[in-house]
Amino acid sequence: MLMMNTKNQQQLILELLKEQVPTFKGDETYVNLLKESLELEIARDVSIWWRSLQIERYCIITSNYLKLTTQFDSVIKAFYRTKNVSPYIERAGQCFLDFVQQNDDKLLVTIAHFEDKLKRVKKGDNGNYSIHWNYEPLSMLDSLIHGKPLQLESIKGSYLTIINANFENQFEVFNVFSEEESV
Amino acid sequence: MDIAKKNTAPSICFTYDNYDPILLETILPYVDFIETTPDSISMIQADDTVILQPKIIAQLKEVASSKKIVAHGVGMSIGTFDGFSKDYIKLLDSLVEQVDIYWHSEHLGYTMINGEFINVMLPINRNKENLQLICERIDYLQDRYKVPFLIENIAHLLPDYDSQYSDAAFLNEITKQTGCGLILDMYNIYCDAYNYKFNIASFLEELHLDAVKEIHLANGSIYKDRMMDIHSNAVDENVLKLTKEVLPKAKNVEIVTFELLSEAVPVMGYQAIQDELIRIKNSINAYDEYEKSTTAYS
Repeated sequence: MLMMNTKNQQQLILELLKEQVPTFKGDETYVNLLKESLELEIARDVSIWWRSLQIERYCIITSNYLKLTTQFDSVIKAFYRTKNVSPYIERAGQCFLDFVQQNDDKLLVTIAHFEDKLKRVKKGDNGNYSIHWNYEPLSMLDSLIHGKPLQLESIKGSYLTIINANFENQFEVFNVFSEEESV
Repeated sequence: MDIAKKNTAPSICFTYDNYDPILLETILPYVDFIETTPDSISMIQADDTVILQPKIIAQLKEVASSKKIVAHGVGMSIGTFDGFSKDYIKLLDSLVEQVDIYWHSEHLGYTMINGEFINVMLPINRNKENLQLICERIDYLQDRYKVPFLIENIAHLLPDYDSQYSDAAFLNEITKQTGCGLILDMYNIYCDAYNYKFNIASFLEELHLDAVKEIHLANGSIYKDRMMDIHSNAVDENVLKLTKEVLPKAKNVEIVTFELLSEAVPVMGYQAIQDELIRIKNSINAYDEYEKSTTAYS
C-alpha cells in the first residue's frame, strides 16, 4: 500500500470535491473510504453552498433566471466542477457570467450577457453594447428582479438593449420589429 | 507579548466583517475587542486589484481608540502543501499598516489546493510532515508581523489520515516549537464530539491550556446528521457551560469571541445579538466571581 504525502492527499481531495476521477493510484482503502463518505459529500455541499451565495449576490438577474427555470443548482455544480474560481466575489461572479454565456440556453446567454455588460458600464466602462432579445426585456427584467413567473409566450418579440454609461439607467430598449412582422 | 497570569474574567469580542454601522453601534458597549477577517473585508477595485474596504478600515481606525482589534484569517490556507495564500498576506500587510492589531490568527487547516480556492475549510493530517510545514510557516508569520500569532483548532470535516499525533498533542507540539498561542474553538470540539464521539474531556486534559489565549464561541445547525460549524446563531448552552469549565484551567485566556457570520446578522437581529453578548459576558463574569471566591478560600 502506497501512503500519500500531504501533496497527494490534498490533490486527491480536490479531485474528489470536483467529482473527478482520482489520479493518485496508492492507498485505495483510504481513497475508497473518502470517496464513499458522507463527510466528502457534506464538504462538497458546503463548498457549493458558499459558491451559490456569492453568485446569488453578484449576478442577481442571471441567478433568478436560473432559479425560475430550476437550473440554478445544476449550473452552479457544473461551474464548481469545471472552473478554478477566485475567493473574491467580484472575480467569482464575473467568471460565472462568462461561464453561463457558453450555455446552450439562448435566453440564459442573453440575460447573462446583459448583466455582464451592465456591470461593466456601471464600473466605468465607456463602451456601447447592443444585445438582441427575443422577448420584451423590461417585462423579463421585472419578472427576474421581483421573482415573478416568466410569461414568455406573451412577451415574445424582437428587441435591442443598448447599454451605455450615458443613459439614465445605463440602458435603453428598442423594439426592432413587431412579432407579426417576424412571423 | 508578556501575558501575565490573570485573575480577571476575559474580555468579550465580536466579529465585524461587513459594513454595518448599526451593528457596530449595537455591539460596542458590550465588547472590548473587535475581530475582523482581512479577506472578508476586502474588495476588488476597477483595476482588478484587491484592497481592504476603505469605509470598514475607517470604522476600525475610529473604534481602535477605545477597543482593541484582532485579525482572524480564513483565507491564508496555512496548511496547503505548496504554500499559503500570498493574496491574504498582502491584505494582512495592509491591515497591519493601517490599524493597530492586538494579535492575528488563522485556522489550522486549508482552503486552497493547487492554487484553487475550495470554499471549505479542511483539516490537515496530524503527522511529522505537516508539523514541520506548519511550524515553519508560523515562524515566518511571527517574524513578519511583530504582534502575537494564534492558531485555531478546526472541526474535522473529513476522515483522518496518517494521524501520528492526537489532536491535543499536535497543537501542543506546534505551540512548543513556535511559541505561538492557541485559539480554542469550543464549538468546533463540540461539533466533533457530536459527529465522531470526539472525547472532549481527554482532549482538554491533554491540551496545554496555558497556551490558550482566546476562546471562540459559536453555534450552527445539523445538516445530513452532522453538526456544522456555521456561526449562524446564539451560542449553544452546552458550549457555554463547557467554556465555564475550561476557563478556570486556562489562565491565560484574554478574549472570548462570539463569532457570527455577517449573513446571519439580519436573521438573528441586532437586539438578539446584544442580548447574546450580555449573556456571554454574564456567564464569563460568573466564572470570575467563582474564581475570586475559590481564591479567597485557597
